[in-house]
Amino acid sequence: MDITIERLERLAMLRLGGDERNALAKDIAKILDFFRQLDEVELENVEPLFHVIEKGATVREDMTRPGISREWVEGSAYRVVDGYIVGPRTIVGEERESHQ
Amino acid sequence: MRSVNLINRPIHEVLEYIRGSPELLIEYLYRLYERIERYEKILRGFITIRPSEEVIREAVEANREGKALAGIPIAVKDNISTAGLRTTCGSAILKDYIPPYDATVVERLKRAGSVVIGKTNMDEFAMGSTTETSFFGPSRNPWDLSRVPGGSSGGSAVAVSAYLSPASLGSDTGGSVRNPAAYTATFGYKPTYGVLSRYGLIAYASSLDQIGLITRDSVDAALLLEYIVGEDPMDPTSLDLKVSGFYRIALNMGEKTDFPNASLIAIKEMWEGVEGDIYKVVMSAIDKLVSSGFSYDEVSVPEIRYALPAYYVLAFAEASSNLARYGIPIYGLKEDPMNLPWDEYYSKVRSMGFGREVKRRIMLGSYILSAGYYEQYYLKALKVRRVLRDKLLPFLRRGYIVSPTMPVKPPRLGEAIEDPIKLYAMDIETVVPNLIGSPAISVVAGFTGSLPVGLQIIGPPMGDKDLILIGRAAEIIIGYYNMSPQI
Amino acid sequence: MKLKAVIGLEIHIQVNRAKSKMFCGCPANYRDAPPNTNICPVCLGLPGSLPVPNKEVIRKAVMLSLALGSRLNNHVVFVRKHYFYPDLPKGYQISQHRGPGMAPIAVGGSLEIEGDLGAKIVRIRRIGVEEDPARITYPYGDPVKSPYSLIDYNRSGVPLIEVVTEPDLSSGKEARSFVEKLLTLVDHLGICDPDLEGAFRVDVNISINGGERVEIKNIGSIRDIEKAINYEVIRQSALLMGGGVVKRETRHWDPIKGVTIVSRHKEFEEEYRYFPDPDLPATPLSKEMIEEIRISMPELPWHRAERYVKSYGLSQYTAKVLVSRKVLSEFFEETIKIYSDASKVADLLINDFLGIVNSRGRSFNIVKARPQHIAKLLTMLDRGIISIKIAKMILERVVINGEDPEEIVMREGLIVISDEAELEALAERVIRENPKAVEDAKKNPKAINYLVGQVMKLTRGKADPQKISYIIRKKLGISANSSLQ
Repeated sequence: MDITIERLERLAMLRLGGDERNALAKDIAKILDFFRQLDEVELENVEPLFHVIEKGATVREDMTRPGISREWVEGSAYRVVDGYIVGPRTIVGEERESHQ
Repeated sequence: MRSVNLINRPIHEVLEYIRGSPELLIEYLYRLYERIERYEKILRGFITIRPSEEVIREAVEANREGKALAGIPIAVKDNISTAGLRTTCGSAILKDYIPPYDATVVERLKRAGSVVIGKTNMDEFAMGSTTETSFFGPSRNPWDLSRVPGGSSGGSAVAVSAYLSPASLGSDTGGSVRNPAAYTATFGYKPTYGVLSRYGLIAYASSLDQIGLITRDSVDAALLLEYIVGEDPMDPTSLDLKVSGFYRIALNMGEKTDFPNASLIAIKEMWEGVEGDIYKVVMSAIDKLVSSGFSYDEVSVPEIRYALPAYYVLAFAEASSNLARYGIPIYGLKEDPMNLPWDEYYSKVRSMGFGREVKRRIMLGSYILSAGYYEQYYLKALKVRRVLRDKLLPFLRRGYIVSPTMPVKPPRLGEAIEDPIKLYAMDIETVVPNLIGSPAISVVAGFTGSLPVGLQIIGPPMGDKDLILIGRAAEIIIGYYNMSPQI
Repeated sequence: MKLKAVIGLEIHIQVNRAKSKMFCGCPANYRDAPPNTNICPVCLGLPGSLPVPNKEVIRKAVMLSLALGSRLNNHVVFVRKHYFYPDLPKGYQISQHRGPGMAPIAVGGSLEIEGDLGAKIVRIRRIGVEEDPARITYPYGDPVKSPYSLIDYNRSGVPLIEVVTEPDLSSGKEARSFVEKLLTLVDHLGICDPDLEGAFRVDVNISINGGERVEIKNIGSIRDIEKAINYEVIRQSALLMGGGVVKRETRHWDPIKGVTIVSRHKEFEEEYRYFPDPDLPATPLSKEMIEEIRISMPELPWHRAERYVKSYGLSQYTAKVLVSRKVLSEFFEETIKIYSDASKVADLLINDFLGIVNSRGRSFNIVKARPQHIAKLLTMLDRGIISIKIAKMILERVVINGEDPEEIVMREGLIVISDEAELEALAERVIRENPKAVEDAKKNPKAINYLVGQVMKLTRGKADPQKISYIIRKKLGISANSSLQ
């Protein structure tokens, strides 16, 4: 198996504990085998069906409509300063920097 | 003032009484809340129940204003946005999330005079078939309290079957409305993809999700449908289905009606792996239909065997994408972001907030979409989807595909969720219509012991009306509808 | 060492002329809104929200593709580009990409520029439509020093059109020319007002002598594009000449220090997990639709410039400056409907008029003047009612306040003094009051200018300088043929 739990964690932005990781490793192998059944089907000349809606996405006119108030954001976010939502630092974590 | 026991009656009967009679409405609602008081502790169908004073007040107002649904309450699965009312998706990561907006379907129901009574329990982010992955704990099947009610819309089915609410909204991505309907002897309906607006439905797998209905019988589904269908400019995948007048037809169908000479088609491969007891009950239901004039045919579509892996590849991939937004410090589970680098912040919150099944699906889904594997899994699954649709549409043009809704009896609590493949295999019948965008219903086929068994009927895309009418015919002929368990 | 720089650009153009955002009905123009007041469930990425594409932005993207000669795809396909970052509320950006089942709105095409060695064709790789992320600012101005970030979602979801070039550019100057020409084009097509803050951002990819590629991200002004590239060329050559190796990396341009610095932000490892957005099934782009868009396309700036040269005899340069802003060229066309001397109008517009606008932040929103004002001003000049000096003096008020020049002149008595008697009197007074200057003038005829200047001062510019000069010279007995001025 050429994927590592670490790589999956990074892709999914998760960090698992030791037990979780072991359980997951077992499950993943089984599930991938289950997926590989798809290799048995003859699909050489078949086009993928990306969507059952053939007419395409409906589009909209370039018009404005009312949105939501900042009050909701202020009541919902962890902290708001002068109207700005406070978020974490945007520099990558030191621990993570060592990966690849 | 006469007192009528409206509990256990479908909405179309309740409406006869409560229209223009707010006193009867109030009595009805009190009885509902009494039942909730009595049974909820055991059944745990709800995550949030609105205070009775609020609900009664709103219902009476709708009733006095002469609105069409006259204050009828409805339970809403907790992955459907309700403004000002907590919407958790059965997850810790949204346990305190209060949306600022209503889903379009909820808005339309409110406008028609219905009132949301509460939010129902579900598998976390709709990922599951038994409602056991809910952060808030599992629900119990009113027909057998040691067993699951199905999932992921388990709470919605519990509410309707135990009559804590006359109807529920659920969601269906791979069977999540039909599965619990089958396990609780209620009527479950998944529309053609696009017929009900997804705006406000918290996404699991965008190309497969639809809001669905769980009701006491098919007539109620027809009735509610009139108020909630219609193209929605807020949903780029919504379609326009016209349904005016068809509720009347469903309502007026009776024992004496000449039923349409419909063809029932069974696809052999969909019946592989069905337990003996279930098979017997479903076949005997089909026999009844055949005796009433339906024709029955068996065909073989070997590609059906790949429906399940194709479905899961697509569902996992889309889920990993749809859940990438959680962790943002605007809503949901939050921490103090001060001094934390963003990647540490996100992984911490997400890891704390998501349960094991969700984590598993997100990780695998990300893998499926990653460079080098996109062709290997995702594109292949999309090709299988085309093959299935091309093979099945011709059948759906001349008849209805029938199968057991579920291949096994409702598992006992704790039994199913240990082995992922065993869990996924429960969906073998129900994923097919989601993959090809077709509508599907589950009606009560009968019972094995005291456990309900469902018959699934699949119709052609945009054929929802006729499908529900066939469902009504089936209900009448088979004879099981508006069933009530002894709790 | 001979240095050959190979440069490609990724230009993100904000469709700030759209009324609403790309996928929701929030206003596209967020500039005056307090933070987090221009939001809705869609652009905040709230659970359950869905994107609905802005039809007009798609039209404009098609228009741009046609103008650049690009090949349009037969469907509009949106993809999800995944990365985790506080400015991306959904954890993915809805964008376009090339891959199985995915294609940008157009590929190919080109734009010709004046290169370093003559005319040069710069090829376009692709054109795509996408949404802008939110804006992040820092409490202490610097991501490294700040213990947290401040996020404003007003900009989240604003429509962007991305134009990516092949690495056909060879210098900062060429890159600048390209971007300038592209901005003029999107201005004329009604896509973007390039002078609004944040209207465009450019990422530069540069490699020297076949070495590793360095990316300089998020350059926000035309001048900075040229400066950043020039700096980077010097930095890389210095590194190479010292025997070093250029690393493949991402850098940012610091406009204050005038250097590029290595980015400390996480590079997303290109693991974007692109796939077609399952909320947005591919929308067909029919030939009829494209034809309809082609027919309704506004006049392209270079065609307009050619037309000016042919129809009005303007110089290439003048025409080019006039079309550099669509609103300026429209103002020109409206004015010459009323006042027919195109050269004079053009001259005033590209020099004094444009000078006033540029000195006040370059946005034409501040212009209150109307074409008839300019026409009146020029007419008064022609008739000798006012002098050039007066005209220049009142132009700013006309432009900024929209005051009618005729009214100003009437009200403030700015009409040129041409009455002989009055001029004689003025000349005599100045001669009387400035004996030293008179002595100088008799020796050096050029010193007459000082005396003329004194009259101009006395009359606040209203005297006709030619006539005054003549009168003074006559009075002092200096020949009119002596070299003056």
